[in-house]
Amino acid sequence: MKRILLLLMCLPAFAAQAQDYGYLTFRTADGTEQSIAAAGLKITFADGKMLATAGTETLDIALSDLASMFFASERTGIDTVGAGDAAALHWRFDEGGLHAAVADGNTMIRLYDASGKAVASGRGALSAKLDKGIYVMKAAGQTIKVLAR
Amino acid sequence: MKKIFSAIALFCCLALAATAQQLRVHQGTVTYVYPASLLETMNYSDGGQTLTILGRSFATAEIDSIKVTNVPGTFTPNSINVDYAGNRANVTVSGDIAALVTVNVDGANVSVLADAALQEEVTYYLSGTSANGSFFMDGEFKSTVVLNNLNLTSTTGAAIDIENGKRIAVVLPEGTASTLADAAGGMHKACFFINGHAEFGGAGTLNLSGRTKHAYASDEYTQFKSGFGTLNVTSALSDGMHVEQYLQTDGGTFNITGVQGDCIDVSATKDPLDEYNGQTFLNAGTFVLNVAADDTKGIKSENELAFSGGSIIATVSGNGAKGISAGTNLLVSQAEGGSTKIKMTVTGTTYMPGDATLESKCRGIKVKGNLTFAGGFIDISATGTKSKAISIDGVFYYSGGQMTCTVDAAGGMVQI
Repeated sequence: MKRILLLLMCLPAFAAQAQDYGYLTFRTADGTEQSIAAAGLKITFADGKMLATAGTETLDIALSDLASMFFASERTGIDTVGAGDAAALHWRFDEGGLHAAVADGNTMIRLYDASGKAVASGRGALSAKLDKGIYVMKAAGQTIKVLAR
Repeated sequence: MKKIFSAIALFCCLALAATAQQLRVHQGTVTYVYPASLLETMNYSDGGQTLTILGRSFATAEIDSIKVTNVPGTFTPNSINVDYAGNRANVTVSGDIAALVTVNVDGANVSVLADAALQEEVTYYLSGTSANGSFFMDGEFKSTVVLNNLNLTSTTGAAIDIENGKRIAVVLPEGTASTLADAAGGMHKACFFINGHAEFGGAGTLNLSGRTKHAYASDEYTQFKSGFGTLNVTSALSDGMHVEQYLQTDGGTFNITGVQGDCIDVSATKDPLDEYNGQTFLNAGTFVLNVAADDTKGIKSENELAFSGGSIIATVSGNGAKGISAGTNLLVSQAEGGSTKIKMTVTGTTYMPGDATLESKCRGIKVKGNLTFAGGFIDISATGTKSKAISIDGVFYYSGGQMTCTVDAAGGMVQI
């Protein structure tokens, strides 16, 4: 009984926290979306650009390209989900999981889960067996949302 | 049992630790606060020159920064906070109304214009200190103004000028003391002016100094609610309180001194259809009134004055001075179990400004209509040539109460 009471009392506080979003996503006129962490985010406008800074992460977009921004619970990728390429980043799925590569073998590829936790990385190439869920892959200035089914 | 208390303590800690994610748009000293949970897509337009958030368009060139913060506590919708700090004022506008208000800040002079489309009550929280600041507000819907230890002196006009003609609730939170002073030599009507009808509440204290004309003025009725705290008028070049339409007090303490006009002046509006026009209802409250100037009154009511509870202690001196002046009838009564006390000390002779029509005699109580005395205590001392304790043009009706009048004047008398 007491445990139930404790649980019930804790709920409002957790509920208050649950409304927070993890990211702010910017959409440009061509439909491209780029996300940045919301925590500690600061946005300024100067020299024809929007500069967003959150910790060590930065994002700058020409004002003329900006269409909108919105809060998101997940880091939103660009383009499409599935096999394909975004500039220098190529990826595909098979039974072994996700395989990604960049032309420049020195470029780091990082894979994050929906909470922002890094789950895999590789220099020039990355292979990871994924549980079901949403992931974000970043490399060479590209951000890709990955849906593992 | 200890575990339950521990659980409660844990709950309290968690609740306090709960944060609200907000997007805050900073423009100079004005911050627009949006709960992230309220926001959907925020659009850029005009090639990125304009950002629209919840219906309010910002020029991106005028935005100093936008920050996402997690702040303790909860978001207060429909609110504007103004915190004065020396020669500046920091204004925080809740995002839900940001599209419908225009805020201008010049140093510590703040003005807020609410659009006619804003048909919800806005609460303005004013705090801080400035020796060179003011607050102006206009709108077309009732509002609440909370004075939270505000110390504001204007060098340009009224300290607070509320042009909104609707119901304005003024709240003095218990334990707070706010002090207002206006600019000297201005064109404004009062140090604290309310164009609409004012309702004062809260157990705090408000100190006013009127350096151009009145200390407090309203162009429609003013009510002081039961439980109201203290209003101190320390000086005024004209009236301490100048109220149009009607004045009603249901509680509070009113200390008015240093005025050169009437301590309290209740006048009729120009609209004869206005309710209780020119009347005064003193249902409760303690009035300590001191005025030393020719042709002035402790309380002047253009029409009927009903005093049914509380006490009036008035010390009035000056030629033509009067403790109470009722333009029509005066009713003094005492509710069962209540206490009604009037103590007047008036000193002066006839005021003769050179125009015979303006001559005015010194009176403890002057009633141009009928005086009905139904209960309570009246104690009047009148001193001065031709002074009188009570002068009634109409009929005196007595049904209860105790009256003591002392006159020390050549030609002085109680005239009933």
